[in-house]
Amino acid sequence: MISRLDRRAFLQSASLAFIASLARRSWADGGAPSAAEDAFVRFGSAPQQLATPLSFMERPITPTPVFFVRSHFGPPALDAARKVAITGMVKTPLTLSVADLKGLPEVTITAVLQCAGNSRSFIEPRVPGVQWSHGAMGQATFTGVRLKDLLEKAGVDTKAGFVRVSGGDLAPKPTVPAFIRSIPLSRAMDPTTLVATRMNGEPLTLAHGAPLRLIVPGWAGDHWIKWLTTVNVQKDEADGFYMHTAYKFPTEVVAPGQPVPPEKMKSLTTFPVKSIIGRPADGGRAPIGAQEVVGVAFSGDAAIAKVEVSLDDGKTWKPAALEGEGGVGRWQVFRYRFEQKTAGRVTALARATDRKNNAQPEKAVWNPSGYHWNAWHRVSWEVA
Amino acid sequence: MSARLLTSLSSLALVVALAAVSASIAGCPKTDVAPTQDAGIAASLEAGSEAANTGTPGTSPKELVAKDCLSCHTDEMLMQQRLTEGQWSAVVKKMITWGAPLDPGDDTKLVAYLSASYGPDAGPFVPPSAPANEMAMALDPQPDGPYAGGDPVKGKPLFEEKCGTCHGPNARGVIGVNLVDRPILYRAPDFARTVAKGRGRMLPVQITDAEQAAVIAYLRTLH
Repeated sequence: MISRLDRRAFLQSASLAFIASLARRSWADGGAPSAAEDAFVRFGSAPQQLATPLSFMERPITPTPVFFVRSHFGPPALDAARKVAITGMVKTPLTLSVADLKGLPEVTITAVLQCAGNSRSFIEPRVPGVQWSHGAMGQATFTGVRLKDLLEKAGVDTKAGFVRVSGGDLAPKPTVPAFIRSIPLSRAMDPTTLVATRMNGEPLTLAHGAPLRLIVPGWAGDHWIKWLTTVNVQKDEADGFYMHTAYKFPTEVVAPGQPVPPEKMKSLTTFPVKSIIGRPADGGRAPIGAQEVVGVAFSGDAAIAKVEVSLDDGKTWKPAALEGEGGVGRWQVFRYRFEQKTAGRVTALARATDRKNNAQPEKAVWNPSGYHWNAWHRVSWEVA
Repeated sequence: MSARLLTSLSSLALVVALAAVSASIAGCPKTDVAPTQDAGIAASLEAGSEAANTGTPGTSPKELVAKDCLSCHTDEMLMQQRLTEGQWSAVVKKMITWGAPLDPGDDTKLVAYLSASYGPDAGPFVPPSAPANEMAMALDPQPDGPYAGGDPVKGKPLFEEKCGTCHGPNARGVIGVNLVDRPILYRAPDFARTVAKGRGRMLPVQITDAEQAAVIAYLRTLH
């Protein structure tokens, strides 16, 4: 009943909110972009599959209005009172709304959110899925409470091994598998795993999971459940399409284009080390003189140790300067400056290495669903 | 403030916003993406002479796409793929198990069309640019306008009579899609437009504004 009353109040204010929304989409969190950048690259309009333009990949924070959106089924209706249930193998099941989280320690984390299939269109031979370029990623600050605090409050059974997490987005038909992911309990209890209510300092928008979203820094986006409604503590991983078939990666190198038997596939967890050049734009132009290669670098397994740039197709590499604070699953801006005294085509490659010595490969590992592309990013521009 | 005033105010705001968006596009020399060359399967159907609601015999592949694929996702999802016939066949098979309502025999026709149009050698897909404001507004609630204040009790039998066969008695989707807990329920004018116009396999439904309001009010009670 509470939910219905809230909905009614919400509807009464919806008309005004609609008008206000035209003005409210501020850029305060990431600086004012030029009008040209006030757009996504669209891979789907309903449900929305929207990429952040590459020109934003030179900032520490991606503004929420252009932060990429990946949808399985699209959002449920906006319901500020939507609750999350902590259920299953717990002593005291809990049902919590945003208001119920007040009083628990609040945590803010800056982290990369990246779709597992980001850069899929560069996988050869091609595989089905959203054919992203490199824009299915962004970095934001997320504020909320630790999932650990909620799980401890509920009292987790010692025999439990996983949490099965899902959101309020219903599949278009009952015949479409529900989107349910399992996360090992150890990762759920990690102090960086949050139930977030805010993104870049503002309440979550519907597109980004309002009112509650799971934040799993370093792990691929499929774990970052939007419109979070269920954290079901269980002994084993969930069944179903989104655990058994989707979001799997081969356990060993496989022949490109060949099917991989299920026993040689494992569930995705962290995303591998990657760097993307945000500027110059591929195919752009620049005057003779000072050139600057700027981009972002991150790894789901460790902080970034170094980013190198090559101007001779990978024969020699020069270190780029790293800016900002590093961390697991957190991107740093890199910058490399050089003088170009002659006219002609310039090609820059970037490669990052993390503090566990994982380095970006020249070629990404082919896999049947096109996840985790992380080859050296190549950008060419004309100097005249 | 009356609903009517609100509606006209928000239409005005929308016009202003859209004008601002077009002005910002016109005023910007630098874009990362060129406009898409292919207007899309849905757009070409709307513009062309092909009727979307005819039966299987003589149904064009684009009509098949419109009636069997596009209730759950828009056409870019197909147009951006570059898949072999084998891959397309697997995708279509998966979609049938997920509930794509293809008539017997239409799967081969669909696979042939998709692999001919969107095969590995189809050339680059150029995704269009989409104004951030428009994308956000597409999910925002709209004022109910003439569909405000419906009676959910009256809406239930109306839904069951006019919509339930395809959307299921509990509105969770069968041939038509799930209507429970969806943003469209709070975008009543958009909802009403789809009902009046039809979409894909869905034929236009004869229904009054008051009946629309009742059906919307009923659907909002479902969870």
